Amino acid sequence: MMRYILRRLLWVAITLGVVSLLTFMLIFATGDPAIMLTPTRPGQMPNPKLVALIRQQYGLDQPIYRQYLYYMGNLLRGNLGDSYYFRRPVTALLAEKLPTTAFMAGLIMLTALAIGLPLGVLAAVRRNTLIDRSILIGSTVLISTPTIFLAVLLIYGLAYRIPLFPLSGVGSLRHWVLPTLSVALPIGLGYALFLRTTMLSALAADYVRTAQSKGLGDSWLHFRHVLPNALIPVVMLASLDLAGLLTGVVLVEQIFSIPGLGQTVFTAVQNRDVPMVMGTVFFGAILIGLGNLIADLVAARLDPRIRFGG
Amino acid sequence: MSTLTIISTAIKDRSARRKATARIAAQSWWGQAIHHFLRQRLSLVAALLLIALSLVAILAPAVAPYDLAEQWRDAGRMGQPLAPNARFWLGTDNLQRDLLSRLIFGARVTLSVGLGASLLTVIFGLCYGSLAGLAGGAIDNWLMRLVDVVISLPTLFLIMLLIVIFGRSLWVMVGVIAAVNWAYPARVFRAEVISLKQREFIIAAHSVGVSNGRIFRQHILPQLLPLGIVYAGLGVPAAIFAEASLSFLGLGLPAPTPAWGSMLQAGLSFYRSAPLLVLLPGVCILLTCVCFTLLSNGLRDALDPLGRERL
Repeated sequence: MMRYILRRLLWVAITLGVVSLLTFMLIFATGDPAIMLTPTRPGQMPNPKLVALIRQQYGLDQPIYRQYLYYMGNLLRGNLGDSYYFRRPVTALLAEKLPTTAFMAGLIMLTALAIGLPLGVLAAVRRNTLIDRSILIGSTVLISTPTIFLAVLLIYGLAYRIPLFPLSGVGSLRHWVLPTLSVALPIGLGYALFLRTTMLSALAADYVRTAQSKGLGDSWLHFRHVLPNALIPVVMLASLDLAGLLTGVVLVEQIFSIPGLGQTVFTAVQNRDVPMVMGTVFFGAILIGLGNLIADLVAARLDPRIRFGG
Repeated sequence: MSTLTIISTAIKDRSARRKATARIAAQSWWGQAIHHFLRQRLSLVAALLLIALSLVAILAPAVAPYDLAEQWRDAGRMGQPLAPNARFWLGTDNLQRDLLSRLIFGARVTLSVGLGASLLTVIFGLCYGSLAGLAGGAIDNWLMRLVDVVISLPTLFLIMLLIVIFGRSLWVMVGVIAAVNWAYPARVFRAEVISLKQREFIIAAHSVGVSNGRIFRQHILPQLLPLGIVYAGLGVPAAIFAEASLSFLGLGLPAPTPAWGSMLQAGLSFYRSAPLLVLLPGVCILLTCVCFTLLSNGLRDALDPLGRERL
């Protein structure tokens, strides 16, 4: 078990190595970092003396392999470089913005599960009825709705026409409702569809027939025996999604003016602030790598049939 | 027996035989798939809608009432979109351009991005996955490690970064979307190739000395195609979503190109005064994506003989 985890962590590290090489090359593909780092007034050329000074200060006059080693050394010490636009260390910015985004990702995931799991069970248990059909149609439509469009519809309906919730910003608990719903609804209904499928295949298993022939009641059978088996793939999917959500709430943060990681990256992209975007890509890769590992461990915990290959 | 009878019997016999041949033809693998697909009403409707949409997109210059970029300054003031009227059937946008024409030309751009990116993703994934699956051993191992790396990258950020670097154009967008999405299909196709490789008919082909390339072309590729078609269909909504997200983030196709995503984004500031500017592109995206999902589901059931038996 321990060996398995270490092995997986090693792969996460190797992945990050490749990502760092990729992002390092991308920084150089976008233009001279020294010029980008030099503070200039809009519309003016950067002062060449200042550029030379910064080039020297950041070690940008060194050969490229030395620069990569230098960059890697900084990465290992947790230094992702300075943001061109915010003129602050990327790590500090990430640390500052992460709590809001993490809170939001957690909220979205809880809401999605709270919506998806009951609907999925309902659809599977009441298969081929009106309820099942409506859940199927509803989820097909919602999955096909772009996040932005859903967000605008929610704003138009529940903030403008019927002013139940604030339009944007943060503050009270009510501020979180619309942003959370606009991401959680499609994800949740996706889970409902997936759980319906896994439930139906779990219901077709031999042990279900055995249990029924023993005279076990339907609800006990569904919740005690079928649901735990059907839930395993859904839980795995959800833990994979969670890591992606941390980096994936860019759009809603932008629509609802929530000062999180997404909004910062958005500003960074608008201003061609490559170190900031790159730092976030790198950080996201760490989260996704760890998220995948945790998903596998959770699955193994839930399903005793899963064994780790040496 | 008169000659006439003989001839007529022969003709009858021949037509009966032709009918029998036709029946056998209908029982061929693709014939069967088409037969089963036609029985699924919902997917059929989706397919017809998509065909109609593609026709509108291809014939856009002939179908659209006005030019996509023409600003009708005589019709109304800038920044005050007109409501639907006799001259502009769906009204105008904030720059006094005809909304209907822009939606029709937008279908062109959006479908190109959707289909282009999705096809490119599947083709690349298929080649990569088959290569890994056929090669096996250490090559397979290393190729799949690269897939692991690509899969653990945060997709949207990477797309943003690449577009910032390579600029905003249709081909860059298609290429970049494919460049971040090919890893999943690659995994699926590799698994498929590996399971096919162990089947008797492939082993038989090997044993009679058929070359590797011929085995792939003649025996493995046709088996992968149905899966590829289904994947390509499912990939279209994802690519259309990516276009919409990028447009929202200001990284969409440059103006005045009307993609549905960029039209949605442009209409956002007018959702109170002119909800149609947001509603129509949004509904277009929604319907197109629903149709592609339904179509792919129908194709999956029709192309999978095992799934067909279950129905």
